[in-house]
Amino acid sequence: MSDTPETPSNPEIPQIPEGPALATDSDLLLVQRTVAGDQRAYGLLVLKYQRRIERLIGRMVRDAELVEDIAQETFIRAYRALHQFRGDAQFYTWLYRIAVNTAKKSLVDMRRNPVISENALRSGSEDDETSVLDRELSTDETPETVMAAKEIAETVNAAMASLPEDLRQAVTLREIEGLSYEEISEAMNCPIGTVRSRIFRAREAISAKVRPLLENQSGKRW
Amino acid sequence: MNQQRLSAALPDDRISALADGLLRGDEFTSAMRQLADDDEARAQWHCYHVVGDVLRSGALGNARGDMDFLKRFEARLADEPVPVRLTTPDKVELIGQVVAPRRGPAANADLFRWKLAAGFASLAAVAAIGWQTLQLQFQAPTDAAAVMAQEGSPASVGGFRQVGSDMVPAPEVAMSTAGNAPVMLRNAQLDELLAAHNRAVGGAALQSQVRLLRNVSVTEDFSR
Repeated sequence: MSDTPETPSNPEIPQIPEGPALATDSDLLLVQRTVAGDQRAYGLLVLKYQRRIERLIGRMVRDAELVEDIAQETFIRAYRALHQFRGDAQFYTWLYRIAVNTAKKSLVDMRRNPVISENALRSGSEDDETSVLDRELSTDETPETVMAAKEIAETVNAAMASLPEDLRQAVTLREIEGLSYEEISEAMNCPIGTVRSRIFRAREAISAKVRPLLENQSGKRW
Repeated sequence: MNQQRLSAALPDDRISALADGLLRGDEFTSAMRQLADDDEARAQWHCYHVVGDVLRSGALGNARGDMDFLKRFEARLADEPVPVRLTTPDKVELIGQVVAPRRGPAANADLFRWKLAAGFASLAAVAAIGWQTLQLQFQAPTDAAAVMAQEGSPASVGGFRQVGSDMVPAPEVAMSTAGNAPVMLRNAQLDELLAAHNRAVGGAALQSQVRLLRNVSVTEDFSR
């Protein structure tokens, strides 16, 4: 890795301390670049968190189009308030709150409207995020989308099972257990560079099988 | 040559490392450039996160419309002004480059410790002076009580004095000097109460307990 350039410290740019990198450090860096004018950096955050935000909103609102509208509005509101994000909490925690508030506001606005689609509103407790098929099918999920999600999940699991043991272990420790590279290095008794390589190769192997599914029906969301 | 072709064919692991927050400096900057210019790189980023979400929760596997969502969102985002421009565009490349040093002991840590020690010492000195002042305050009424005892209080015999028809412990007036233990005062009214109790319970029952009395509210003006 090349040395960092000796540049004068810019007080306007929040700095990330040297040391073990955290996953959330990349979020903070992307936020910083966005605030500095790089809107495409924000797009990376959208790609990362869009599904979780839509799932969260989907628990409150039934209407599929409304879920996407509220999700878009959430990311817009977060974008407008991005300069207020200091990195004290995780970016997703901050985004989560904005999503909940945005969804609630939409629900309030809808209730004020005498012409309300009953199907647009959902009541009931939040579901566990672990199982798609165990949940009751609602209007924001068509049989096609459920099948698509199931197909992707099965492909990922099958790809994982076919990985060499060292690659599978590395990606499991990273993605599921949430260990840092340093912790994985210690657990697997190998250098951090080797951990980085194994995780990358595991992701590439799985992605090679998943990406055709993602691109296959692009545009056919519902 | 085969090795060169092989290394050239090997995909870059920077996107994977960026997803894990590993990149700093030039690597981070080059990865951001790649993601800005290359749709393939963005698709790679997207797919990595879909895989991660599915591994953690199969419920987030419905990702086929994600890129379309992003396209619609970016069209809307293009109309938004940059919220607050904290830095000029030419300094965008600095983000991720400048790394603050790990926090170690402060340069003035020793000085701070000395100041702390001096503060505690000052506090101890003030406490000692205050304590001695309190002792002197308690001594004044004691001296007056000693004079009063000599001049006007009932005579004491063998540590007891006559109160009415009973013998009660004589006032213990200690002549104290500065720095001694707190002075124990006796109150005549209290003594009479004790005498009455003594009579009620049969005499010697309380005598040993009387000496245990410590906190007596002195309401009389011993200066008279």
